[in-house]
Amino acid sequence: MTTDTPAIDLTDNPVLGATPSRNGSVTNAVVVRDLVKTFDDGRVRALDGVSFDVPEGQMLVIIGLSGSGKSTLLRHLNGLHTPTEGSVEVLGVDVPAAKGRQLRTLRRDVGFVFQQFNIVGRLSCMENVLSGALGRVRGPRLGALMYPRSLREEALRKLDRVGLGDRAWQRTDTLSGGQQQRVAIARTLMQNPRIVLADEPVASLDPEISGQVMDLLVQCCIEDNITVLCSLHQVDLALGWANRLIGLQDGRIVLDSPVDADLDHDSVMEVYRRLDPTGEKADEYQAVVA
Amino acid sequence: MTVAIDSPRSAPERPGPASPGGAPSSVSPPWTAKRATMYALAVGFLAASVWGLWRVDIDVRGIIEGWPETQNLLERMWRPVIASEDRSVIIQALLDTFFMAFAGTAIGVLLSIPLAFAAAENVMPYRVVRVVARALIVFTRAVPTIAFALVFVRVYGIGVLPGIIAIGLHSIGMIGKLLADAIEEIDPGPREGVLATGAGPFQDMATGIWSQITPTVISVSLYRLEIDFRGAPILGFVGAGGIGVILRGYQGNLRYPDLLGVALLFVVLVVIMEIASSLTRRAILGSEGATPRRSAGLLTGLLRRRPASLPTSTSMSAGGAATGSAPMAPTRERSLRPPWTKDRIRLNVAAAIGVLLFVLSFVVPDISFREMFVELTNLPEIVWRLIPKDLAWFTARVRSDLLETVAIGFASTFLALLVAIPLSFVAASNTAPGRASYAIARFTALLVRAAPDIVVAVLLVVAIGLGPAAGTLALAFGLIGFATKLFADNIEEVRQGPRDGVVSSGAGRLQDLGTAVTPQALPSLVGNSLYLLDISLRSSTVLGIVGAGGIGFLLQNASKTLDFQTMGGIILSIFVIVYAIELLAGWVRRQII
Repeated sequence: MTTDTPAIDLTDNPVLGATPSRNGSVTNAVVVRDLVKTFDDGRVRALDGVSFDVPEGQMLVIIGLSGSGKSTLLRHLNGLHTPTEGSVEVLGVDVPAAKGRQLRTLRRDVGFVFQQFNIVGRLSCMENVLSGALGRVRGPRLGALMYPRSLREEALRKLDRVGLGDRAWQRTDTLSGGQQQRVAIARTLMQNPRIVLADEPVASLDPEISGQVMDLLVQCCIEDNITVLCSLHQVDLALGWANRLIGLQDGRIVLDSPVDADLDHDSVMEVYRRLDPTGEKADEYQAVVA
Repeated sequence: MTVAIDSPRSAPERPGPASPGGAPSSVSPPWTAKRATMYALAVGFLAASVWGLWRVDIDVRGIIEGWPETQNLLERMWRPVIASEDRSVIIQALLDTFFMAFAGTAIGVLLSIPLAFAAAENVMPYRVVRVVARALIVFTRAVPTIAFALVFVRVYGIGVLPGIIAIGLHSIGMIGKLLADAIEEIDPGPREGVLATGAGPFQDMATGIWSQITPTVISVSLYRLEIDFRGAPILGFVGAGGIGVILRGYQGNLRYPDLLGVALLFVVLVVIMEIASSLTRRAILGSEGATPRRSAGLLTGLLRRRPASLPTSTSMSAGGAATGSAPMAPTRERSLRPPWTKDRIRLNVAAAIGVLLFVLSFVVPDISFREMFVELTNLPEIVWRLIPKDLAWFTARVRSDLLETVAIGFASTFLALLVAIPLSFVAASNTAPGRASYAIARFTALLVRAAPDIVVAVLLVVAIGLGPAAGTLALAFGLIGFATKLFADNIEEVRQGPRDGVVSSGAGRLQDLGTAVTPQALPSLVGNSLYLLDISLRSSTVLGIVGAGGIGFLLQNASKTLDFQTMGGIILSIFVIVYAIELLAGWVRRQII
């Protein structure tokens, strides 16, 4: 793993799942400080002062209800959103300040796996995977044959890794949901990323397929020593491989814990138990959080 | 208050307290601003139509009294012939017409694509560029082909080339708009996926956008080719080549059987062209062209006869493959080049034919690219001379003819609606009284639609004499076919659920149509009626060229006498009128939705 990112002062933040040291043996892939994001001229506060660090190689899972700010948080890390306040640093790059070429260079190193796959259904799997290499080539590409042969070979290998090597030239929208997400994972791997951000990657898949796709994603990332930040609804899916859990609620971090014997299931589920449809028990819940 | 409009019947049943102010709850729907606007618009359209009918003065009694004479004329005409001595000229003219339409559409598409990207809000970040691109698209749409043709006949001289350029420029208006809208409506997800890999703006356009809009580009281009081919005869009347030259000759020499013969031949060719176009669309796009989006994935999967691609079977096998050990695939599929599937072969053959036809479009009518660009140097000077420097051109005659054009537009739309609305219920599969009447209505609509306005106008001028009445009837005739098709499609899109509800409450057939079908289809029906008004106004500007009323006569005259000021003034007026109607239509459409 490269260590060209600057060491960051970690003293005020416990790094979980790795031992921090001042002389920089562990560097942080992601540093988020006091991140605030509002929508609709401040009427909606999606993120409300979020701070955390992620050391390289960590497997971090973010849990929380829909609307708790998970997606918004992840989308700040590759510049799909710009913060209202606070700072976001990924691989040593100040993300909100990065524009144009600098932002594109950063995005090459940061893969993103979307809940809705976000692949182009009309194109073949091969073309979708090849689009992961767009950051490496210059100029627009129409059709697989416009990519050099070496990239096509590499794309085929990535498809093999996700078990779809035999579907290379099939139209992606003829595949099942789980397979489409695997194509999207192959596209992300094609970037040879150092970080993978996964935004509820299995939320639109059935439970069994979810497990398989999640295993595949994690396996690939471990093999390639990729840092993972993944938002998930299924806590049980997370506990198997994550080494850190962050719980978000109303745009704030309410849980930040390493995944070990001390992490009990109830305290995790507490993140989800905030649902208070009538609003009557709001005070009670606030007390629990405090 | 607006909620109450949607359920006027249930309002009185509500046992709630009397409305504020102590007045009893009304049993009539309340007069909201929106409702008043709707009524005002309906009354306004009716008034404009009545005024239009009065202005164009369709003398029903005159037509009836003069019927024996007309009949006599028609009988003489009703021996359509293709004169054998003219056969080679006619074939050459038909070929010219086709290639003129093809090259024109192709140029239109090529120019539209960059304009559409520049006009799309989700691509072009600079407002100024977007506004300029949109303005160019609107301008080319609002200026009729014939106006462009008259200008370019002055640039290139008489021939096919000005026709090609005129078709190309006017086509931008429609193609550019539809493509820009298509770009703005694409799914942002895949684009985000592409951008997240670190792609640049042009890579995003190619991989994220272009790959999503190609079906739209293909179907819009083919559709525009049909329109351009059908509309091409008018160009010959102003010296821009094609079959119109022959039609004008026959009209001038009173060779009516020949006129009818060539006109019918052309109508047949238009029908063949439409069938060929829809077959091409299907061949290239497969099920995508027929049913955009909805279940396209499943359908293409089924159509390709690849059992492995069926979603159900594949999702089952996902687990085994997901472990990372890919099953060894046949060598053919391990290729680094896309396999030659039927779809890919078809697409490549279609593309090759397209390029071949484009080249032929310049070879067959003998056009030199050199001439095309060299002569363009005259354009700025001509455009400068076209810009009116004063209002001398705005004579009483111009004013009166412009009004007549608007009158023809309203009157013909009104007449067409009168016939098309009832007919469309017969031509819609879900409301047709029977299979046979449905088929007959659809086929009639297709045939009627295939006859170019100008051809019908020429024939009607012969039958009932010069003047706006012939033009109005000619336009109404064509619009009936078009409107019936559009309306029937709208009616077919109506959901069945509300109809079941109405019928199960004991409603009869007509009650079902009135209560369940019409309200559902109404927004699209009104929207499309406005679209018809738009079209008929645009078409009414050209009728004068064959003596069927409106501003076209003066426009052609000005061109003949090289009165550039008047020509430019009239073109500007047409642009203003057409654009004003388009803005009005857009506003009304937003009010309905």
